[in-house]
Amino acid sequence: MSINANSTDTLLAVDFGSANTRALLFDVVESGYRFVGYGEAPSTVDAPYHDASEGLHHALEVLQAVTGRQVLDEHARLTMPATTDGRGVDSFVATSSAGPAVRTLLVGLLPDVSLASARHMAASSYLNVLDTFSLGDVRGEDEQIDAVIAARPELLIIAGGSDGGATRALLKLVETVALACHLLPPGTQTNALFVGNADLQPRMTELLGRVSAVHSAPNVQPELGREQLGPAAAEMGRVYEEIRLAQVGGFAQLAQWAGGRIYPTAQAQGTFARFLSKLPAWPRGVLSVDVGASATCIAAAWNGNLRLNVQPGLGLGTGAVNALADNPVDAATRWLPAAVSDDAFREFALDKAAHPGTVPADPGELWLELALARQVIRTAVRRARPDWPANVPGPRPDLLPWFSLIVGGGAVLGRAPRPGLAALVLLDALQPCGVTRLLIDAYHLAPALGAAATVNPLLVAQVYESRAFLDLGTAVGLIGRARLGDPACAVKLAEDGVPEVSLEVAFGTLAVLPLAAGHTAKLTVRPRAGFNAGYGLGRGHTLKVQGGVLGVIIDARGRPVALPRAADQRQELVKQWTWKMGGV
Amino acid sequence: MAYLPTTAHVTLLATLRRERLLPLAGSVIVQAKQRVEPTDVVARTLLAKNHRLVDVSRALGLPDDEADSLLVKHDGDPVKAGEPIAVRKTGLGLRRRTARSPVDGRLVVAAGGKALLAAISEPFELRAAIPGMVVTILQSQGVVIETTGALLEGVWGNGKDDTALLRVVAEGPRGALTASLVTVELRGAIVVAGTLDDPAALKQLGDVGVRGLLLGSLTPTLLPAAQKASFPVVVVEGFGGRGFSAPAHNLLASNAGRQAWLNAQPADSFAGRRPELIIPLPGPSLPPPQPLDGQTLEVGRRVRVLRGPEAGKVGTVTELSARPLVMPSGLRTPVASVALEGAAGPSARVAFANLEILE
Repeated sequence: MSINANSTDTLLAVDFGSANTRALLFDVVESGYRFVGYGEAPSTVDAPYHDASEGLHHALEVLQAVTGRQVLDEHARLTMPATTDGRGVDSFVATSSAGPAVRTLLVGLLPDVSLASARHMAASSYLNVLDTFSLGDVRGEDEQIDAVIAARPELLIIAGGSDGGATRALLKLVETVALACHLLPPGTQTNALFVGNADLQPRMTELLGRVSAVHSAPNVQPELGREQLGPAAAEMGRVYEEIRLAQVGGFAQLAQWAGGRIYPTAQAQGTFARFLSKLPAWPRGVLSVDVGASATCIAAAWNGNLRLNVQPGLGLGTGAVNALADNPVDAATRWLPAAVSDDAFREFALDKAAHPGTVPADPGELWLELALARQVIRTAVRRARPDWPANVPGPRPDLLPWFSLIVGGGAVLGRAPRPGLAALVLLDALQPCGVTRLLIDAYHLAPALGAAATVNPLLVAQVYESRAFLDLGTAVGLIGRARLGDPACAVKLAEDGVPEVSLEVAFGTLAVLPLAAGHTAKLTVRPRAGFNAGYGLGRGHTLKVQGGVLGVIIDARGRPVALPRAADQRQELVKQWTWKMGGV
Repeated sequence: MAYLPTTAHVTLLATLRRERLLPLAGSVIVQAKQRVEPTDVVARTLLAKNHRLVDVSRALGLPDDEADSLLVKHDGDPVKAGEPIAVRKTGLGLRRRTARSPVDGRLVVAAGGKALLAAISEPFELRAAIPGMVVTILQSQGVVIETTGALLEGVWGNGKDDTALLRVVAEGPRGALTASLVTVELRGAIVVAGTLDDPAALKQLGDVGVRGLLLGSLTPTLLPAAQKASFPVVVVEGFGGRGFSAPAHNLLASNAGRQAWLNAQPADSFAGRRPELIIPLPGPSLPPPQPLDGQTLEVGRRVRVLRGPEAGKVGTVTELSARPLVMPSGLRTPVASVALEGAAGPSARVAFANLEILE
């Protein structure tokens, strides 16, 4: 079986997650590429299977039942390339977020310079950074050695020194770490990635070659203050893939079908976000949020400038408890329409972590899960923001920068029983400011399309334009403060052939103006004094907006959203907002 | 289309194999096919109290590569405090510059002008923990021991392990462990109780000197204290007040007073590790089968409900939906009809995702 890159009419994209394996089929329909079907099955990457292909096989069986297209032959093997009678697929791409985060140590010279660059780079993949070593480290060498032993690293990322610059201090640090690696338990497989002063590459191989596989990539700071993460991050992605190919049963075979690559899911999601950000429709940037069971990924991109941040250990499954680790529990429970004690919510999060694949059985559990999702997204974005460019325009440093488009992914959003619930989670968690289009990636399309871009860029553009994503509509987030119920803005929606809609929106409320998906209308927003809809304080604006399954959402709850302290009043408001959004 | 749920073992009798591994490379002192008892030492190693780095090149006043050539001790050699690691003769051989070991221990590795030394503390002895036969020797790392017995898997463990007699102290599957139940008679026992939400009881268990605590469920606020407890703690079902499922409680009640190994290893789904209790039992003449794993969800399977109003209950699958159905939560998902044990009335409808196979 081999890939024919020139014949990619039918493309199968597969994602191996920690909870589920997903298979997505794309094909040419009426002279354009379309997303035609989806199959999902529990992941078999973990024990007792340790074989990704088992879960893939089950996901493909579901896909075959849904689409009617046979992709497996009579021996349950993938048929590739497609046959003339319409069986099989022409190409195959794969992504993976499964498996434990890679245990990683960072070595750099200065904490705020090369180590910071190494940290930025490491944050873009499924790495668990356990310790850092730099000139700022106050520990003695003996303590550093014990720290390496305790960490049992699978990956060392070493940065430091501008090209042609000093070498001695970095070598001294690496010598200590390399010696400590001799003390790791037998069978420990360590990889080292050197992304520092290019002059030191041969010396790094000498020092680390006895204890690890050594890889190198261009310097992340070739000149002091000039960060260049792209090529090094790409190499880091390849090293991550190598680690996974050796760890996960079935991946080596599957990688052969996929042209040798099983991309990290987050990297592929980032590729797609970067693609979107280059489109003229999204001049203020794109924010793509994917909430997984064991990791959450935030991809923010502005005109091709991507900032990818992965939070392994933060999610709605095994990572559920971590969402509560650095926040009071009521940061999550305040979004509930009924009283739930801190203990009861912790209980729920712990049980979710123990049984990550479970789904809400009744409305009460659904509310808890959505509240946890809000907390996971807020936490992930807060941790990602320090890596975003400082000059990204936004209303205030404490608020989310302007984004033209927000794409929400992950089962909790994609499978929400009603679109209004998914929209409310995004609005509450992210609190976008100004005018933002909201899409839901119900079928995990973003990583599939990101990976597909490597074999068929046309497919990516055409599938995106074919409305495969669930279009919620356009949200207008008002910044400002008033008393609850006081007027915040006046809006007017004018769609050709439809009676004009005008209304006053009060502070602390949400309003939804119906505008069907695919329809456009003229929206006029006139904020009251002290309010900003993205065009300046009190400044009105008329713009063309796109509809969606919800239409146009006017979020006049202020930024940050004003939640009353009194529990009964707050719960009543949450109920009203949910009702307004069609969430009940 | 097959569906593969997780499997939890509440197994009355099975052949069990468990790895016993040293934290560092060492010596295995038993042989394959040798019978061992729980307290038998199967492997030993020397744990380093700490590690010391000696700058050999500086001590000798030489560049790194030249210093390496003057080492008198080599990788793996034992060393005494003050003993030379490398010696440089100067002034026509009349004067010496010496790099000495600062500790009693072992030279781990010397390279690049530096020597890494491990300071030795007490020897570490790895015990068998379960009675059985050594079936595999893992060179310099440990052994695999095979035994027969009951197996009960949990969802949370605090990382410790111990072997002792089981003492069931609270009545019924949801019996709460209170401070008044913790008496000195529990010293040296693995204590079993349905639920725990009394911080005083947990503290008292440590004061009395129990060897382990096995709970059906634990209140979340006690999780940090349970994590720090000096004895192994395993939670079987989950968090809150649900207690043990009936099959788990029956297994424990029928084995009260027997010796057991409480292995509170943290759950790791990738590696396939769960915290567990193993109660060694004499097997029949033919060894019982090993616990089954990785079975598909089918009609007739015994399952445990993980979530929803029936959480913690056990039953048998009577029907699997052919297509996704809408749950009371509004989610569309494939569901199974489950005849719950001890419950009258119609079967419960439970999402596939909310079931685990009980073996």
